[in-house]
Amino acid sequence: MPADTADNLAVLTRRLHELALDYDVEARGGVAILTPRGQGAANLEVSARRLLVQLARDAGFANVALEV
Amino acid sequence: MSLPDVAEHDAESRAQALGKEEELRHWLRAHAPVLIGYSGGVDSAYLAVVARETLGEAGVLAVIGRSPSYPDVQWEMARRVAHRFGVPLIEIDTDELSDPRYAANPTNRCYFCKSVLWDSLRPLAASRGFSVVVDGTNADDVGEYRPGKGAAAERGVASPLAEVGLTKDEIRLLSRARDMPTWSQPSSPCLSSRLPYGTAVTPERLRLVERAESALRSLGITGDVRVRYHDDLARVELSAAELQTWLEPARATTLAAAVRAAGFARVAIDLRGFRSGSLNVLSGITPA
Repeated sequence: MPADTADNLAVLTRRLHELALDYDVEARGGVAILTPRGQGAANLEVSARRLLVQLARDAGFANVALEV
Repeated sequence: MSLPDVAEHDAESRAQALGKEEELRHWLRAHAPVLIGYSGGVDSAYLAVVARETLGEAGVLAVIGRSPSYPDVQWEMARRVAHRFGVPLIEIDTDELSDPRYAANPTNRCYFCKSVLWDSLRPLAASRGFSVVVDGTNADDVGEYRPGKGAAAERGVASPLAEVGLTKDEIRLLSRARDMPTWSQPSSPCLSSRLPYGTAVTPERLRLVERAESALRSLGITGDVRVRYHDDLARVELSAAELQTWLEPARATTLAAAVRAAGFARVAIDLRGFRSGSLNVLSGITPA
């Protein structure tokens, strides 16, 4: 894994943890793949979706997807 | 412009589009007879129908370059439109996947694909007495990253829709006026565009993506849909109108099951939704 991707992963993982958002994170190219732990996938409202997109972009990812 | 906006076009916009269409007719008369690289997409279908209207049956030939990188449903639409509007049509096979420069999936992959296509169509045009080979590039395409345009330009392929300034929205409007089924058809780039640059293009991967997208359509999902290939994982891009609906847990489960049944092990829904050329963004070709 490239160093910058590892950095992006670390940053996003930390931010999600700080916000008590319970996801595993992996990188596929420039995309962050979020996998909910437990019941985390339930009813992702528009505001929550936008927050996840913003967090991923702030961490250096071009995009983010939610595993279902 | 979204599709509903097409229906709400004001009179001035319609008049402007019709004016450009008249310019297109002039262009076609000046260059007839024309051979069209025809995919059955919004643009080339419109061009073929206007050419048929303007030049008659003898003045136009639409040619499908059948490629494994397009879904079968695309060719079915292409044939249906040609038949309904009386456009003379022939089909030839192209095999860009046998070119290792294409199969390696570089960022200029489209250049090699279009080179194969135009190198097949130009001698065909010459042998049948067609003056010019044309494609369906429109005015909106001109500023985009499209390496395939280079292959066309090198071979003298003309783009009359772009030359007269017809935009995608105007082409949809004018297609709708003819009751063409393509007027509301989503853009349909080749299946290879679902694979990240550098990921080899293989028939198996193309068919996997095709099956997955077909499965999503079977669920009733409309509008732009893309299944982006990330090895075992499918990243599904949906239109803004569909995205929030399919993030609802029960529906997301249904969606995931359909894509898994098509052959992917894992499924993720893109939280930004459909964006044309999103793999160009991931490759740094275009900004996020």
